[in-house]
Amino acid sequence: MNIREEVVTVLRGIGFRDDELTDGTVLAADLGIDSTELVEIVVALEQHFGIRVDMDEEGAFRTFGDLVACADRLMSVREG
Amino acid sequence: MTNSEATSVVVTGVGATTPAGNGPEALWESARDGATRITAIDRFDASAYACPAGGQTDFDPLDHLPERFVKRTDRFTHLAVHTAREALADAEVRVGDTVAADRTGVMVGNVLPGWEFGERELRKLWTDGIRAVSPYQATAWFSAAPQGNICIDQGIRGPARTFAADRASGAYALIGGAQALLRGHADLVLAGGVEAPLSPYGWLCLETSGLAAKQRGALGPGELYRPFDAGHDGSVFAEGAVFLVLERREHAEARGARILGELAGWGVSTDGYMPYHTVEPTGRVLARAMREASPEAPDVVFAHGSGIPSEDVTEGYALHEAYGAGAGRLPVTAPKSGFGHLLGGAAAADAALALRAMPEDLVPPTVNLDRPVPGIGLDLVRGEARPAGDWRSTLVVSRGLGGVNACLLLKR
Repeated sequence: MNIREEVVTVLRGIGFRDDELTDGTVLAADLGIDSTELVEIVVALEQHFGIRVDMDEEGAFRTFGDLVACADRLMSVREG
Repeated sequence: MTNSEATSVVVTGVGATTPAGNGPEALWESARDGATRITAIDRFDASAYACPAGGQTDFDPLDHLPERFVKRTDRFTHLAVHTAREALADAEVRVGDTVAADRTGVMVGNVLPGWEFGERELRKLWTDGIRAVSPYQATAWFSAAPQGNICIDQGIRGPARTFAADRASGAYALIGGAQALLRGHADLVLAGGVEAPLSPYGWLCLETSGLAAKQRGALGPGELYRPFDAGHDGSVFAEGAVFLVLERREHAEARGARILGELAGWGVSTDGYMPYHTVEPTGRVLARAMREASPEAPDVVFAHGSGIPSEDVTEGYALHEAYGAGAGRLPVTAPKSGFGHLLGGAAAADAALALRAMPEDLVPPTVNLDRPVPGIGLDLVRGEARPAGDWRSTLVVSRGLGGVNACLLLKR
């Protein structure tokens, strides 16, 4: 499973374009994502991967790469 | 009050997205021709409803707005943001350039908030639990969402309000806009209303409130809404948005704006009446709002014409109360029976039509008015549009549940 590609697929479903989504893309500054849209994204990732993201524990997601890294880590924890 | 003091409020732009089509010209042509835009509802299964007909607007938000924005907002916000853009473009205004952002205001009338979005998310809440609900539920549903999103879209930083006064909401928004200008709180105000009532719950609310016309006899969908007709039975509602650009006359003239006409007066009153309906039965209280808006008899009346028998009859009584013996000679029309009652957008639609009709000297007809209800004694315009002669002023009447009355006087 390529986690990065799957995160792109999830964000495409929310209305982002593939070419907007590079690891260094800053969520707030580059994509105009606010806290409410971040909740939408995190919930969509949770549903897609069957994971549970504790947003307080994860701290602030700053870039697209942070989202991929989080999904990657939680998936590997889940799959043990 | 009348707006005859040192300054006056003028209209310099119109945006309209309605069942008649995109733009104020489509609305005017439809009203002038007495066309009907009301059809059987196909947006949702309305077969079990007493009123299975409505005014549906052919508007795909994805043609005009970004996908992410469309996903996080309700249809009433899509209609409002698009129509606000059209109104500003019509007035050749760029906020932050033509007019300062903090001197620009927004006043929105709305009755039912974003139920299309809200219903879908509540269904998820009750079937799949809290994690399934869009985090945008609160901000998409609430009635000030169009106002807020217009301000964000246009970078507007001046006074902004949403008015909830049932079907008179849009008239209140126009009055609020004019007052903000006259009090010096803004130099330009976008004022009007929006409604997206075509969701199963929203439509049911209109029905259970006793406002909606019922499917009856052999009448087709376009024939159910019959203001002042002996067969009147309530309104057929519609979705859409109408916004006007309002400015003080000096401001409009200084920037060389095209002036469409004047919002020359207004008046409000509240019936405070029960039982049966919340409509005061003699029309005296509504008459006070009419006279406040237009102390002299206007040349033409764009009636509220809800088609609800108690409202139609009392509206006629009120015109006689307000303007005495001459009331029976005033041309009275309710063109909204052709494209549907736009609820929060209704008064702005009537104001826009009045401003367009006056220079043409063509009073658009009341659609479906075949046999005038006896006992009202009004000169109802029906069949086809007709001239009014030297037509300088139009009274627009707007009323809502709770006995809310708001009247506007438009002048060319």
